[in-house]
Amino acid sequence: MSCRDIRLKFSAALDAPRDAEDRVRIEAHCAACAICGPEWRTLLRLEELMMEAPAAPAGFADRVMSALPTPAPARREIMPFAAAGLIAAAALVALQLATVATATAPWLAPVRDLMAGLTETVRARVASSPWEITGWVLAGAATIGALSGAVMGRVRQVVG
Amino acid sequence: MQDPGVPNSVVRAAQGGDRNAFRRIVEAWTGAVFGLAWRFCFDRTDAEDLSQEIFLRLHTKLGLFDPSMPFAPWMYRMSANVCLNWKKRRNPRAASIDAMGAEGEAYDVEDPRDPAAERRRAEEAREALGRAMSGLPDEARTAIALRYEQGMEVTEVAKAMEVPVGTVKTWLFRARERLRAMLAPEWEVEK
Repeated sequence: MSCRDIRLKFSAALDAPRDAEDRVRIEAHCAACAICGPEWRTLLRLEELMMEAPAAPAGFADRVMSALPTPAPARREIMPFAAAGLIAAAALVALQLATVATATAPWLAPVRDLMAGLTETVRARVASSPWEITGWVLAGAATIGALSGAVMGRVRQVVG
Repeated sequence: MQDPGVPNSVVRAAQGGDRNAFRRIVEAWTGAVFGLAWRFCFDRTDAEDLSQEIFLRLHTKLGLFDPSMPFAPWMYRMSANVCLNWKKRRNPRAASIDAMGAEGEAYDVEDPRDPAAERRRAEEAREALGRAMSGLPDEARTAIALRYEQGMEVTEVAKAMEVPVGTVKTWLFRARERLRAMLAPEWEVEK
């Protein structure tokens, strides 16, 4: 091989195992050649420097973790409450529609009487004990929240 | 591929917002990321800042990773991109050999057996290499930095850069030729 051929193989030889045939041949040539030798030795020095790297400082992971932005609440924590809100809103709309329907349709008179009775009962309870009804509302909201959370979790399992 | 060995289940957990899982990734990848960052700047302080920037970028981009794919090539690719952008943001330092030793420090007469002088020469050689590296085209610079990161094979570099093996070999050849041409005069003077 000529000097030119040898130099063209320098890069491939550096990526080959040390005992590869071409590399051994290059080493032998460069040991005796005043032109190729310095070039090869510069590349070996370059390789040596490229392979050196200091270790990361101790506690580097802590530094990275403390630089991370404060986590926003995960979606799965927000979802049950959002779902509960939607369900509650839907229930209120349905109740309002039912009230309107029962007030206008004559054939729904028995239902209207039943609703009127229930409304009267609730009014009486609120008047006599307002905290009791508040407790029931809160308990209902909590139940809806828990149920919707369970449902959303199951949906995510099935979908995901 | 030099994979620091983070299971994809951990990556998935980190994608879901699990900070402990993210910490596991940081701890497993610190050595590889720091090594790569070092090969882009050859300066300890810069390498630390750059490594931190890589992990912060990972935190924001992790959701884009497809956990059905191997994590290591994606991570190396993302890290190399951060390194390249970091280089562009900084004031480019001219990779001029003329500037090297301009103050005469490389020409001082020193006792070659003096350990302090030896350390100084090694430091100067690294600085020269850093300047020369910053003068390489992006692809060549990335290829050679990845190639020497934990002794990565050429095929692994190709995988991380998503290019054919032959292309990586060409980039490595050009990178070495340019670095050799830039550094040889400096290093010859030191001998």
